[in-house]
Amino acid sequence: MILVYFEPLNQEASMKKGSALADTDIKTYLGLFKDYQPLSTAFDEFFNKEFPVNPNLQKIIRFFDQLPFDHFKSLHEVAHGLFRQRGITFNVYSNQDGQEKIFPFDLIPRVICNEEWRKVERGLEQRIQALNAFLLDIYGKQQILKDGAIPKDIVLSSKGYLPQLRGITPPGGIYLNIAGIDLIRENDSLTVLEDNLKVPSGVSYVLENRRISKQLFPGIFSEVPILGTDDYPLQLKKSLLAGVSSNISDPLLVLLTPGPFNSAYFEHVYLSHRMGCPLVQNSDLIVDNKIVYLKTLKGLKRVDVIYRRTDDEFIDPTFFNPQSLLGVPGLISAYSKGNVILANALGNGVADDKAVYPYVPDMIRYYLNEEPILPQVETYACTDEESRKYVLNNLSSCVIKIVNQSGGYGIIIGEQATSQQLEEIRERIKANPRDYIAQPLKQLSSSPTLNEGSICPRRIDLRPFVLTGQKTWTLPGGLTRVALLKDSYIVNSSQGGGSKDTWVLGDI
Amino acid sequence: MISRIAEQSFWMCRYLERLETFARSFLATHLFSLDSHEVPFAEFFRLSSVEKPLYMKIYNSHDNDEELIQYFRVWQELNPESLLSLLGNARANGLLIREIISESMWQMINRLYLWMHSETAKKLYMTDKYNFYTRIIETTQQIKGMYYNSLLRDEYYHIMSVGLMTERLTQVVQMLNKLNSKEFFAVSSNSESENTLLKCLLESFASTQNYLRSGYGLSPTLFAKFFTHDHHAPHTLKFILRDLLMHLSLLQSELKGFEQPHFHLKELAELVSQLNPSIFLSDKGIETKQQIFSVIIKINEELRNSIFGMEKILV
Repeated sequence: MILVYFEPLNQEASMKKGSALADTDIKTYLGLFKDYQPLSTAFDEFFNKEFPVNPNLQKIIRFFDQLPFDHFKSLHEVAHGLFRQRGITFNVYSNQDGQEKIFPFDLIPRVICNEEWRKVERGLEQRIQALNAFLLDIYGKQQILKDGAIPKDIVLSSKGYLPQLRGITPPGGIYLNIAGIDLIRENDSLTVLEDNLKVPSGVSYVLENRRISKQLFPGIFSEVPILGTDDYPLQLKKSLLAGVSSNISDPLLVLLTPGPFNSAYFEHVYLSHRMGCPLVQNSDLIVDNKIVYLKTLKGLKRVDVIYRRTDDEFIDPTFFNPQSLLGVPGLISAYSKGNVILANALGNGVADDKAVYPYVPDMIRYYLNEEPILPQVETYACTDEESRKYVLNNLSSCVIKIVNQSGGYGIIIGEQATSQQLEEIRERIKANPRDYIAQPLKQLSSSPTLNEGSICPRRIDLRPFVLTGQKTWTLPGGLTRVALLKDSYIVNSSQGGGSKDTWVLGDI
Repeated sequence: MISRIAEQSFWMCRYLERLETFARSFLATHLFSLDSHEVPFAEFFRLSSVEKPLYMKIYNSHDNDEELIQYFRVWQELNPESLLSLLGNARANGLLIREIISESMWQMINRLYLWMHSETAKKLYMTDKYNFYTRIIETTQQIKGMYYNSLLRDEYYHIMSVGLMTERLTQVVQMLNKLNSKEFFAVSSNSESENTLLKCLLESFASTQNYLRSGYGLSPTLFAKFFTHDHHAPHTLKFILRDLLMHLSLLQSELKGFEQPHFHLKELAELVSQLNPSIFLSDKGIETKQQIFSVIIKINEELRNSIFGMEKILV
């Protein structure tokens, strides 16, 4: 039996000692970070010009610095063992063995100061509000298109736009119950890289990372105020039930999973466990007379809300893909009647289409009459002639993405591509410009990470999760993903990425 | 209660119970065989008629290689009854019902599974079979303890209990049937080896202390009586049937269309209560075993048609 009992290495005493040392220079760190060299081309999340300013961040750095390297390395193995024991895994579709893989976890957290986080929070809430208004409009009057605020053809040609759903409004007008917005650091500030509005995943790793951090480093949590993440499951449940009519006294919420072979199955189990709601597969549901029921042994039980982790395309074989084995026949008919809430609502793909992404600031201005709080990465939509010309002339300095792809697949980083790859992508862009966007290569910020036997800088991004119900609520921090391969910019788990805990400092 | 989850809960517990019983019997056999080199113990290493074809197909070997047979029964993934396969199946079912079992219970199952697949376990098996089997037994007991202590007392709990007890019933009946096996007792040339065999069986069913505390002497007749009619010890027919009836009654009161299993079980309980335990020592024991098994099969079928009936649309 593997017993995990970790006795912290006299953390309190070490921290008191550490605070007596000069904090202004990385050279003063003589322990874990002794040989650490930040990247010259990237903002380092620990050692940067902000460094002397925040005393809590300094405490955290000191805390980790005093850990002997071998001990720190052994803690990584303990953490890995804990992940295995708890079954915190994901399946990689392309892996023929179908093995459950551990999502690599690096113990050095990413730290965000409170002031910066407050701004991010406001920016995210603003962005989600605008995107939600956009979806409501696109599946309604399409006023934004009539007013020419954003190009009509880009929106209507999006694969994520489902014209069959026009005129169907989810209860409360909430399209985006759960959103995951990917942020990177650009010019010292957190910037939106991408929106994930269909079935954003990863939050279970946020919660488990925190659990393991608290288990292994209890001392630092008692010393430094770090905002908690435990509230997420209950907040999620609240937001999912927000649209339910007040006539329904005891609404039934279920989590619909494609099943144990889905890459995020662990997360489905985890969230249903934490929310106390049934985890169901499509065969457990039936639609009769446009009402969704759960097949139980006490009879059919009406379902009011489905937190669905199945993509739009597969959700109802009678409406979308007839070959889908994951869907519930007739579900859309119940949804269109307003007899069941689907979260997230259907048709959100148009709003997280990468070709629509450049126009989100315009949406914020149009719907909210405000300037965007959060900047976003400059993006060239290849449908625009000028932009396409620029991209084709500068392929080697761009990052080219397929508009409806996710998981880091299909990304070409011009700087790292071969000339053959560049030629191929050139031809593909010319043939189907609508399918591609390009962005300048951003120097993602980096963070000290245990990799290849030493502490070295690895690039990271951040995915905060935003819930919308009666109010909007943002999980403090989110999932920090780290590109574990040297010189890599790809942080996705399916392509060798890992994660870190994200510590948002409480008010000082 | 979702029927898919009910079925997975039922089978998770059946596999866990089977895993523990088999591990116990392998441990008991291992320990007793160290004391006695008599042929009777070859009985435990002899392949059954069901196992033989698969064994021959895999190893193309004679069936009297005790080490290989034990390996086949512990490690061979192609053998659905090997400890490794049973644990894999228990875990697979547990994975699909993670949201209703406690985190601790899931972790315990998962940890045992990961351990069994590690080099550490293989080395332990080669060098220290006592601790190898003990680990499996103790962990399975802990898992069952967690199920008892942490689960909501809802339909899933009762279904799990039904699974566990159905498996136990099957194993006890099969064990009792060994008593009339000509091969089993014919080779025991004296009462001492006969007693050793009985002690080994008691150990296999975690019943040594209970048996002795109940004041039974060691003889096949009393042994059969204990395992048939004693209602205090948890591995006896009477106890198991009483427990099964209780859980099925509770399920019946909650679920519709669920009367048949209860009916069959009452039929079985009556059969057992009128049974002369000595019947297990004679050829008629086989007939009795078949009778009991046919009722168990009927119960399983009814469960399949009612609780586990995935094709059944309840409208």
